[in-house]
Amino acid sequence: MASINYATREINCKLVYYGPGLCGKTTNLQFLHQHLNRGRRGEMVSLATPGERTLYFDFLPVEMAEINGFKVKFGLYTVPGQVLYNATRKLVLRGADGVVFVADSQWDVMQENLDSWQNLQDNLAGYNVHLEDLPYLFQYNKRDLTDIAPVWYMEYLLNARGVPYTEAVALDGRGVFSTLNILCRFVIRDLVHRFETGAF
Amino acid sequence: MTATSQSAEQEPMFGLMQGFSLGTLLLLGGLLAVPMVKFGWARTISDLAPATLIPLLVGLLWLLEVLLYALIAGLLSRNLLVALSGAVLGFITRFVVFLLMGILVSSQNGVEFSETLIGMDGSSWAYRALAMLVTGTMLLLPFRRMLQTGYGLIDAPAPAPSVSRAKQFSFASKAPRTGHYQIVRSAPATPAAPAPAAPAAPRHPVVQPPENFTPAIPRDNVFGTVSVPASVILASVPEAQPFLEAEKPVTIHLAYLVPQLQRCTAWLIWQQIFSAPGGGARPTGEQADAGVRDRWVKISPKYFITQVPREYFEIQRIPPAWMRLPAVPQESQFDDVE
Repeated sequence: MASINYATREINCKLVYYGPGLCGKTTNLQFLHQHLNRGRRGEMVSLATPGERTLYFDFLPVEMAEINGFKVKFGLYTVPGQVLYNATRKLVLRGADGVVFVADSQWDVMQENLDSWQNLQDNLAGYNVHLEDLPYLFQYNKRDLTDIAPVWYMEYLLNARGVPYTEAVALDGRGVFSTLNILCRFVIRDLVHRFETGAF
Repeated sequence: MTATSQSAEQEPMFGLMQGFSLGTLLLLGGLLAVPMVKFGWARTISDLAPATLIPLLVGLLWLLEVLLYALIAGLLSRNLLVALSGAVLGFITRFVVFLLMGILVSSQNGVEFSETLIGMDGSSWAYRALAMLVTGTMLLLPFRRMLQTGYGLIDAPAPAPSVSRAKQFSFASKAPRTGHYQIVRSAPATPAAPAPAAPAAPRHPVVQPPENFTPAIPRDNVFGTVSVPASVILASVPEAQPFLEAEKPVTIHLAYLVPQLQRCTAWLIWQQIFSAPGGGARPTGEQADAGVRDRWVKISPKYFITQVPREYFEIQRIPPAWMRLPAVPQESQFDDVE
């Protein structure tokens, strides 16, 4: 749930990058951290194992332009993709305003994509949150590899609601900014809508 | 003024204990306590009790009350910790409520605190009844919360969660695994009888052949042929080793697609292997009966996806409400790169 500080005129939102292990969530944040202007992003906090596996989560604060006099700040989080860290994933997911589901495009991890997608829905249901109410989108990552599923099949597999998706190669930064932009747009719209309807 | 109440005036704590003994009786009796008080039996018990025996009686009643709370909580939760907590909470709650009610009655009637707890006259009847109601409600609250969270037996008739989870874990850990592939042992010869009402849908549906499945390939469901490495089939059906060469791909009919199961799998009628190029000789006799025919094999969609008409993957999509919200002015985006 976004928090609003009227004194400092700031809106803080939480965006979570979710997906199976080694799908490229941290790579997304690392690219953003490396390529955003310093004035618009803070320092990235990463708790990883020596093998570059996310142990707890990664965090990157970024700042958007003002909207109606309020400065909008996004906290970008990743979750540990490994199956045994579900408690951490659920904890990080708490209070999320938007979710990027990073799916690995390789055929061999299609089942892991499905399992992680199901896991996301289960964890959200634990907070009584449903995807009908939470802005999210898919990022089909690793599109530069050879043994990958076509996008239309991944859409069939995962995207039953027809939400936006992006094709990405997070290592090169392809699709990383567009993913963030699309999600931010929908999160802001949702936020404004909730304000207007008094649901906030 | 009765003899008991006179003694209470001399010793306030003694009167207080008497009061609680009466309150305990009312609680323990439940519905029975109402006619007891109504017809004056409780007063009679209180009045007739010898002054020397009352402390002992009170102690026993308190013990009984705690045991009753523990029994109720234990029956509802089947959990020792909850039973103990319920006993303590129930007792404390009852104590506090009666204390407050006593203070209220004494302040309004201008009588001694102990008098109000023992006395049977005047408006204290209403307060006493109210105390019973409030106490009963508050006693039920912790139990109600337990029921809502699924630890009780009334709203959640399922077995205890710990037992259920243990069974699931045991089942999952013992399930046969064959790499990424799963084998359906055999198709039913006759249509399965209608299953009884299933409880809740499992998270990952159990893979079963279609209800109207017959071993022969229905022509309408044949999408074409697909070339699958023999190693893929061998990974699922190792007993097919004598009939396949691991190096050679096997061309088989793509017979039936079940996308609603896990949606990245397809089912092949394995018997086609034997009539397909590279499939080897069809087993006969005892070998055929050993379980190598009419076998279904799950393969990765990457082997068949180009063979299946795209329409098969068209699904109706209803966008969520947040996608239809109007744009917000001054929407900016992250596009500045250092």
